[in-house]
Amino acid sequence: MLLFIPGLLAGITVHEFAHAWSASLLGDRLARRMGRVSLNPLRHLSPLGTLCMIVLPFGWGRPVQVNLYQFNKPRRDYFLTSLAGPAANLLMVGVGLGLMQFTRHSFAFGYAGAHALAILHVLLTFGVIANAVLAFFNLIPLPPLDGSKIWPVVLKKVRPTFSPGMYRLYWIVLIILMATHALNPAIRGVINAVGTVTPAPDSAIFMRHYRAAEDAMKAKRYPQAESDATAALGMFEASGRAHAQRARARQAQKNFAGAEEDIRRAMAITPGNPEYPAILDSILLESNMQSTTPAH
Amino acid sequence: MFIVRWIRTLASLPILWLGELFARFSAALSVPLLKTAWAVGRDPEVGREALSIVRRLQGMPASTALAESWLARYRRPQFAATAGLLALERNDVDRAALMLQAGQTLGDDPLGGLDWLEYLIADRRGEAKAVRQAMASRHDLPPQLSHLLLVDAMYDALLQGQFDQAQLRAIRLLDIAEDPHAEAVLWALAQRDRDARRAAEHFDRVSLSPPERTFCQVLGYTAIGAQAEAAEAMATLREQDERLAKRAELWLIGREPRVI
Repeated sequence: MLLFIPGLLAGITVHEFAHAWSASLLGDRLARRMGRVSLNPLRHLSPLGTLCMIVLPFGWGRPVQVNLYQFNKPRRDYFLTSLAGPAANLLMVGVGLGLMQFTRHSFAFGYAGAHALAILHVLLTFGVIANAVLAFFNLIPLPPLDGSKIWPVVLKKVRPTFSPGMYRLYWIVLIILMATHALNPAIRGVINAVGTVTPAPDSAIFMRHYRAAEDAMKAKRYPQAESDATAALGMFEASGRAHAQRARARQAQKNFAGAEEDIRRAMAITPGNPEYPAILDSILLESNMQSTTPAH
Repeated sequence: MFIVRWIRTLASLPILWLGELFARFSAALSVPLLKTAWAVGRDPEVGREALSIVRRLQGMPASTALAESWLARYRRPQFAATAGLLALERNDVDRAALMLQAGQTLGDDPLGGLDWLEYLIADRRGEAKAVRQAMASRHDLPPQLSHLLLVDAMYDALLQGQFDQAQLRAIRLLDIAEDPHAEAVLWALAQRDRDARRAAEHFDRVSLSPPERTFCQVLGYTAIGAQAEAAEAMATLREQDERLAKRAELWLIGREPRVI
């Protein structure tokens, strides 16, 4: 849950900023006067919403007050102002996915930078999910959510404002929907959809191949193990353990020259590893035995 | 800094909610609770709410004394606005003007309390038109004040015989929200067109108290030149609410209606 917090904070900030900024552009400067046209998260966070962010799987910011009487075309401009929030979240999704194209190359700065990039990649992944869910949730056409502002635009009889009683009623409906998890399948759908467009980091692909190589070795499927270790090295060529893994796989297939080359490479990358000289010795021994055994 | 403020606000919330709950049942305990909520959270809006509940439960003198002591101690424009509005409530326009001046030197009240005060003082002094014209060019007003200004402008147009303008303004108001005053203006225009059915429909939607409905009738009949009906409505209004009747007279004098 904590991993969602940075993304949610950024998402709520840009969401509320976008409402305030668009209202200001469309003629209502009340939000600007109230200091809401700002990317400073502190201006947008609600104390209770922030607390919920920490203890529950959701949170919220202080709503931006909009004065419809100051718009030129109240219905259209209110809708546009409302749409700006989810649009800003979708923009954040796009920016996040763009940044992930950079952070996915975990080994771009060697092994040391890999951890930092991997952490950043994970945070971006959660941030993208948080913003996609925020956009989706707010676009639900049920008052008081942003999506409901479409109705006065398409239906002339629907006014953009409600009486306090109706407002409370809609809130109750929304709370019931959330409490009964009625929205969960749709939210899960959004998360899954985001998952399909989120690029996997090189470190994750490396680990997947490396583990597959390990499993193949255990199952004595040596050609497969060699192939998986090669694929892992394709992601991160400077991995000592992947070279060692391939050395073992090659040794098992009697490819001693290749195995020796791999293990020497592993020793060069991680000189302090005590296992590698032992593997080298066993490869050399087996290779010698092979060459001294007379052929029948 | 934010963390401290955040913790304080968070700590004040349960006290505020408890205070609001007690206030619903007019329990005296709500006042100390709300004062504590303000002292803990230091959110001027909480302070403003505390003052309004003190006004409701303990009366005008107590809330005025508290607002002015908080203003002297904490120097917030929100308290100046509240103290000024309380002064207006007891018809002390000069004191309200002093509070407005004090508030304006302290800074902006983002929720528009000082704007309200400025408008209401001008209204009491018969100078609302000038303030309304000055405020018409502003785009940072709170919705309630914008609405009031638009309603005033709509009645103004009606009383000056600019019926098309009044109708446009009424339609614009109704496009945003239910609006009894816009319905009252459309009722007057339907009366003028001698369309009894439409007039009845609009008047049914004038969801105001009986004296306020009569007030609208006085303005409407006057605007369309129905002198006998206007006089009758004015007589009824005098019986219903003397203060509102005086206000209607002021309107009719101040707005230079086309026909009286």
